Amino acid sequence: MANPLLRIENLQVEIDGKRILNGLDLEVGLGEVHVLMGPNGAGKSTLANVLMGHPSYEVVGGRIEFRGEDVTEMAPHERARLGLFLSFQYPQEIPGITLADFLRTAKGSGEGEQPGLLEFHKLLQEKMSVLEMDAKYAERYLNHGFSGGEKKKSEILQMLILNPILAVLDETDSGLDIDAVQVVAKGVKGFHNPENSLLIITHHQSLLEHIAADCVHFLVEGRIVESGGKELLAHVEESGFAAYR
Amino acid sequence: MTRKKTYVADIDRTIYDQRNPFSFSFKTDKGLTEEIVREISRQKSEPAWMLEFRLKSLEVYHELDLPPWGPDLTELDVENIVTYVKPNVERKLSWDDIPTDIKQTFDLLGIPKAEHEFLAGVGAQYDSEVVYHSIRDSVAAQGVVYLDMETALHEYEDLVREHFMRLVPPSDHKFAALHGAVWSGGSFVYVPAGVHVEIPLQSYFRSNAPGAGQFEHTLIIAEPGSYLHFIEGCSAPRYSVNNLHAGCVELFVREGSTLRYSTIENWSRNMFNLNTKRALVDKDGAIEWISGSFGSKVSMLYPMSILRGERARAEFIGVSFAGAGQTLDTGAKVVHAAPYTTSNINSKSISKGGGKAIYRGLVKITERAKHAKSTVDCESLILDNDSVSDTIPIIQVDTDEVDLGHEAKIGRISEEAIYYLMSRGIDEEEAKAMIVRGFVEPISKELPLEYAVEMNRLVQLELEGTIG
Amino acid sequence: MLKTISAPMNRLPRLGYRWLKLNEYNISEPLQVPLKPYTHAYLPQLDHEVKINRAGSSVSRLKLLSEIPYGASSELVGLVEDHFNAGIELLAPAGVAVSEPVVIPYHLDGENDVLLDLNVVAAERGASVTVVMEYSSDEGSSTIHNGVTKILAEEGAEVHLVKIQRLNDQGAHFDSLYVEASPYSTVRFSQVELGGKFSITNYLSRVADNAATLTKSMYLGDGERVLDLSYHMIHTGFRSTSDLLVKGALKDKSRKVFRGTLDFKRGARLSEGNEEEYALLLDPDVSSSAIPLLLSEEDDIMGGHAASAGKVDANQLFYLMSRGLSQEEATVSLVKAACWPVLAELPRQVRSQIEGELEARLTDQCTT
Repeated sequence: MANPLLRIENLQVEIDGKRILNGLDLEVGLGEVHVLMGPNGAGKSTLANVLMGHPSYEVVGGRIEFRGEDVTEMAPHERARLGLFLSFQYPQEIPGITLADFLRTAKGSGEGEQPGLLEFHKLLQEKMSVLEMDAKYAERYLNHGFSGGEKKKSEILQMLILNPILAVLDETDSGLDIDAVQVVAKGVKGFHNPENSLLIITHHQSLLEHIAADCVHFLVEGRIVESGGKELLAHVEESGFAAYR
Repeated sequence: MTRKKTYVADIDRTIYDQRNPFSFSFKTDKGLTEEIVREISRQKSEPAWMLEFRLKSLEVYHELDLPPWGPDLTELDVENIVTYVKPNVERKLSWDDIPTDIKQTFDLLGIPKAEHEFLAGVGAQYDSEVVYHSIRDSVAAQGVVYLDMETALHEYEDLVREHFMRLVPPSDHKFAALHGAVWSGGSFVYVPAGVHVEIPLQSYFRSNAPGAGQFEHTLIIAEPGSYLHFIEGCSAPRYSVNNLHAGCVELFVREGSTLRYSTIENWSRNMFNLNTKRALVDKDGAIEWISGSFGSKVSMLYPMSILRGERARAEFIGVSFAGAGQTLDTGAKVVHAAPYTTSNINSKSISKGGGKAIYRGLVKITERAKHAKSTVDCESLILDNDSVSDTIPIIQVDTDEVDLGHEAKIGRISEEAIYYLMSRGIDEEEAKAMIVRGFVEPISKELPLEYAVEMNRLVQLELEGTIG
Repeated sequence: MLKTISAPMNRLPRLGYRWLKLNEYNISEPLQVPLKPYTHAYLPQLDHEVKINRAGSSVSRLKLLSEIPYGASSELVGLVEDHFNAGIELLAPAGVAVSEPVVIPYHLDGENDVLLDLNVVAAERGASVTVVMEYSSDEGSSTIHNGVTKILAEEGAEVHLVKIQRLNDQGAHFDSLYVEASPYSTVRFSQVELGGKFSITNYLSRVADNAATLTKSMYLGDGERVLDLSYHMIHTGFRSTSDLLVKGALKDKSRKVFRGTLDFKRGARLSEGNEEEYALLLDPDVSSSAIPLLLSEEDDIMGGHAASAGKVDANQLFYLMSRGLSQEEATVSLVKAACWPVLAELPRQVRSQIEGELEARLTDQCTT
């Protein structure tokens, strides 16, 4: 790839002095859908959080380039404004801020000016109906008291509204029932186009039945041990990751 | 990782700090003597029973000691507080008749504008006397009485005599006794049975004289089935000498009526705010306290609700913000004295710059209060490690048929929450501001829009540089 | 010789409104304590490296403990310090880990009706020890117990203290406990309060860097018992932890005051403290007060408390009764269930005994 959207080179990451990522390399091109799989504790969520710039993780080696810029040391909001999005595995609950107000502020900060109130609400209602979310959720506090499934929908809703260039979905399909997975998949499918990319971190294949992956990577013990096409999915279904340990 | 501290800017006090040249038509000497009390009464040409009441209160005042608990009051030298300052103006019914300097003060505070736009009536007190009082004709036509306390004492003498300091007797504590002796100004509201006052009434208390005390008395009687929202605002410019505010609020909420009492308190940082507020709630009645405490040097304020009728209800929503040099000791007290009574207390405090925020509360469920329900929720944010936050709740239950829950949390703004908001493109400063606004949101959403804006303006946020 | 107990006890670290009369516990009338010996044997024979002696028999650094004021009142602590008639000095040497609990059975009766026990438990670096202290009495005898227990856990040490109080309903019980938790140490305290005419207990812990003090307590109020239980956790070090869980049931005309204070001192960065209190109210004449204080001079901490009180859940009661339990049996089960987190901490042999006693008292099968 001449100029990939995302380029991770030899990434080494520690948290509280403990090494989690161990020389990870990964490239994601524009318009592509990549899937990252791996056993528990392999470093999948760490990668997602390091991409977003979580303050607790320390990058001790390597670099992350996004849209040709070195973002390794960038603050989370700057990455977001550059077009990076993370759908959290465990989204925070923040009382006192309504989902609608928050998203309007976030969208405004990304685009430089606040969207008009009416125009924004129209957009919000439209995206909420795609995700089969009750309109009342717009006026509820951000993720506050949401069920697990509602939180995941809230994450995808935020993705649809903020319209990033690269969306990292960290276990967005876990903890969802079949119907909810279908709704979320519908949202993600509607989002994806040749002008954006997806990095899907998952344990299951349920989401992948709805979205075609271009590339599959296995992450084991802090590095990518295997990359390939969709055929790897079948492999993992049969034999897991034991061979890579 | 580097930890950044949230810095919440000090409240911009420029508006409140406008002081006017100190002029007056009469003021008492400093200190507290029988002569002074008699003089206050004479100035007001009061009925004899009120003078007697004042003198009795003075006796009680000398008998009582300062509370051994709570903030340090040693800096408060009552002997040096001027108890009565009569401004150079008679009570007016039009803003145009009020002297320019006083009118300008209220203009700056936005009172006449608010009156015009969204209030049913306004009272404005300047030092010890009410200088302006008015009520919309439509509201007056419903039989609602809204007067300054002095006028009420003459026009509704029996009603005042029956209720005055019955809920907060002078023997309650030393400052209640002081209030009984030297009270001046305040508002009287009478809402007839069944009358719903759709828009709020407001009294604004402004203390301008240095080294003076303000002792206004607010008495509200909401007759059965009525509704009223009363808003109280207070501020003062800052002087180098200490001022004292020992007001008293007595609310009688009759059967099936609802009274909402909102306060935005923004006294200057030399004020000792030792205020007593109490509501007596009858069957099916409700008292709703909304309270924002931002100012003063020391506050001791614990609005008390006595639920004496079946199914009576008390709500308390309060936020306090203690900055440098402030000790805000506030909270709510509820006494459940009848079956099926309910109370909800929701308190939030923020302390910064060495400020002390203390929640001090009480839920008492008496033997009679079968099936009482009470929930208490206290949350404290400490924004730096010079500041202090204490939570001191007392829960006393004397029967078994209750449903009671109390929860409190204390700590700093969660790093994870900041990160989450930043991951959506919001910078750190705004992320922290959002979280703090979210923290006080349960209170600001209960206020009329104009006051919510005012409160959000009071809670301004800035980000300080990285510390360590 | 007689000594008098009359001073206020369990005074709150922050005082509140006076009219509630909850700032401290005041004994209804002064209590005369005759100074006399206690003659029952209570020192166990130990077949491991933990050393145990009678109180006062060794001149040790153990005495240097607790330079800060502690205890239910200085009068009560002073009485024990000056006139103790029993007690232990236990030392777990560095690195020694003993799982078998060291059991100290204190028993009061007509002859031995005054117990003033001064106990010191010290665990050196990395040592681990469990100590069980039992307080019981014969039926019918009117007894006085006033005790002081001091615990020092040195760096990395683990101490588990279990105190079980099941005196008869005439007994007076005062117990003061002081815990010094050095860096990286853990001190667990399990408390069971079942008997006595009044039971006044006071727990104070100082928690250093990376140390933890974890307390679980259960009580039963029956008859006209008065319980006044005070806990104060002082976080002095960074990343220190404290946890307090108090559960109990009140029946008849019993009264309980719970005082719990989480106290974060400046410098206690990254510390976390939690306290939770839950009272089951079984009769209309009980009285239950809770004063859970949360004091902080430090921003970078997490502190939380919760207190609740109410009747036995009607749905749960109905569910159990629908399975054939009588109302009384169902109530006993639910009280036990509520106290389970505390019961689960107890050594097995003690636990079944406690469960039996709890059941007997709840169903009034007790002869007392």
